[in-house]
Amino acid sequence: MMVALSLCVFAMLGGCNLTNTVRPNRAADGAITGVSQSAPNWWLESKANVVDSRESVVDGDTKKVQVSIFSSQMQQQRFSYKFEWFDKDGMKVGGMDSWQSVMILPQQTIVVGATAPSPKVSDWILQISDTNYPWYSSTP
Amino acid sequence: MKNKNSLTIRNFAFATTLTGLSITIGCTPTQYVDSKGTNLVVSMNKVNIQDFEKASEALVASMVESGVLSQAPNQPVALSISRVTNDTSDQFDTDQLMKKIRISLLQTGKVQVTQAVGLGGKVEDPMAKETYEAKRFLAGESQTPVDLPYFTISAKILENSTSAGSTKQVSYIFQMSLANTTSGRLVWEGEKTITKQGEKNAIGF
Repeated sequence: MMVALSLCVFAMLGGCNLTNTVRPNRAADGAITGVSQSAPNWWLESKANVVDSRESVVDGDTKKVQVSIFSSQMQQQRFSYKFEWFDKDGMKVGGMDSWQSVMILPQQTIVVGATAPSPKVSDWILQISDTNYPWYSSTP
Repeated sequence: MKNKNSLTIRNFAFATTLTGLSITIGCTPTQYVDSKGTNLVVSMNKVNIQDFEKASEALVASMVESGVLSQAPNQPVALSISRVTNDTSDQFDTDQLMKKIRISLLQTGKVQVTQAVGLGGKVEDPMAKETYEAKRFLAGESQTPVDLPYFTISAKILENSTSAGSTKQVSYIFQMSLANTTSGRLVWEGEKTITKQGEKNAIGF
């Protein structure tokens, strides 16, 4: 019993460092048809589940992205996220990619977004992390 | 015998758990960390590097989204930095914010920072200014107008502190304005507030 408990504690402590990744699914014309989520951190996914995404163009040529994130938890939770940007050749474009921390209320859907650092950006991924306070919740 | 074995396994499991927990929450040796990561120190009494990062990204995104940069007649538009005031209790160099702003704006390809003029006659790169003036003189262009900025940026960083019991809260308010030097009007303004709450400094966010 104690061995199982020890293993469980280690597994959970290790698992809380895993990052979930969201990628847009695209049609042939580049339009977003949905998102694919790689979610090794099931706990994080339960409080930060990306349900849809959309793109627009600002200032004539720069991509802007927004995603809706839903929490199925019954307590206020918190997580961090960041967007990463790529050009048409799949090369990473730096900038506008710092981690942002947000609170999410029980059963709430929030919208987070970002503007690409350069007009060269043609694609993106969203990374969601829970590196600190994996079971953190606080009163509003 | 069975009880003894059971006790040994239990002791081993207990020791393993304790060791694991002490490794997890024990002393941290000095190490390099990702400057853009989530395990940085969060201070209650100063602006951290991640605060500058968040503020600059939010302000540049707001400026780009407003569309004012692409409305300038000549692209990329010439920009200059005006007065930047640090009105907080933390005596940091405002370049920690403004350099990030400039880097991000230059990366958009919509803006270039002129060194022909500067606030109070001072420019960041005097060599660039002297060479520019020498080239203009040699080309017989000394009487033509210099490359004046179409936009200027000014900024102010404010602080708001309060507490409840032993819990402290500090907000750093980053305000920025973009002025069109042709009209003399402010064509964009942005504000980003970063609030931290707690009793003491911590690692990670």
